[in-house]
Amino acid sequence: MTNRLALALLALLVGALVLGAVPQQDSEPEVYLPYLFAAFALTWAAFFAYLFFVARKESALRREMDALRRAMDEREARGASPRDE
Amino acid sequence: MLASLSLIFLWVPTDAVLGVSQRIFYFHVPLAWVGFLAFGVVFVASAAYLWRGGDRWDSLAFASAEIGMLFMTMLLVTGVLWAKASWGVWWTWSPQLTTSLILWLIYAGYLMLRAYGPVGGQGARYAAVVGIIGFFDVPIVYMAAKWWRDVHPEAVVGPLAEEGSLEGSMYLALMVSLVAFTALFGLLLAQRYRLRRHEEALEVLRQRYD
Repeated sequence: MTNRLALALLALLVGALVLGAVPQQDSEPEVYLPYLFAAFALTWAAFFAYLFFVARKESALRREMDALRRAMDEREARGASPRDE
Repeated sequence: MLASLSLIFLWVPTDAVLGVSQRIFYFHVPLAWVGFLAFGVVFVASAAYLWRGGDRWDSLAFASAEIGMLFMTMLLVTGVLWAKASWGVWWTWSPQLTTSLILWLIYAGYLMLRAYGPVGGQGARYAAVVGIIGFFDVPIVYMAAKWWRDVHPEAVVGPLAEEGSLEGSMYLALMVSLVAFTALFGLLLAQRYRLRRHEEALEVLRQRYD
């Protein structure tokens, strides 16, 4: 997930660099409102995506840990009393 | 963070020259600051890991590098957008932009080393060396606009900032934004560090089970 997020952001950056090959300049400063919107929206989207990734990974880890602990307990119980098997 | 957003969008005056796009500045500078701070944590934790050992230092370095990369990536993205709005180009190879991109590449290499390099103590030691060496680019990025004057403005916060380089309300909005972003970094770091420790605990459990 981290790698996919990094790749997506890298693709965005590379795309912006490629598009920037042609310099442009508009006279009205307010025409730059989309840039302001894009900067804030992308920053927040990245933060939320990262938090989502961390939360999802944490819950998956907890599930895997619980499953592993149960499997270990079962194995130990079987080892302690082989006649039960 | 809400206070910071209110100040940025409702309180600070619109810049007479750059217009609304100048408000990107209140995100752009804190992103840079937190990126540098995160890599500073990587530097300290990596040095502590090499000196004293202990998985906790290594976990802290890894967590901070990952979050530092998030902030550095957004620094470059917001920088690209702001450059287009104020200079008319998406990217220019100015020293500050170039050194920032190099910093990003160094820590991208760090994370790739963690993901695909040697596992265990050897991988952690290699990564610690990269984490320490990579940090030396941080002061270069900060000083770049001073050393090689170009289109990028000089620092407005920190030891190189000139007195009165920012109007009062703009300075206050920037400071509030810096505090908010630093708090966000602390929160993300604590969360990611805990997750990393869980990952390591799971690895120990797996080894015991196999």
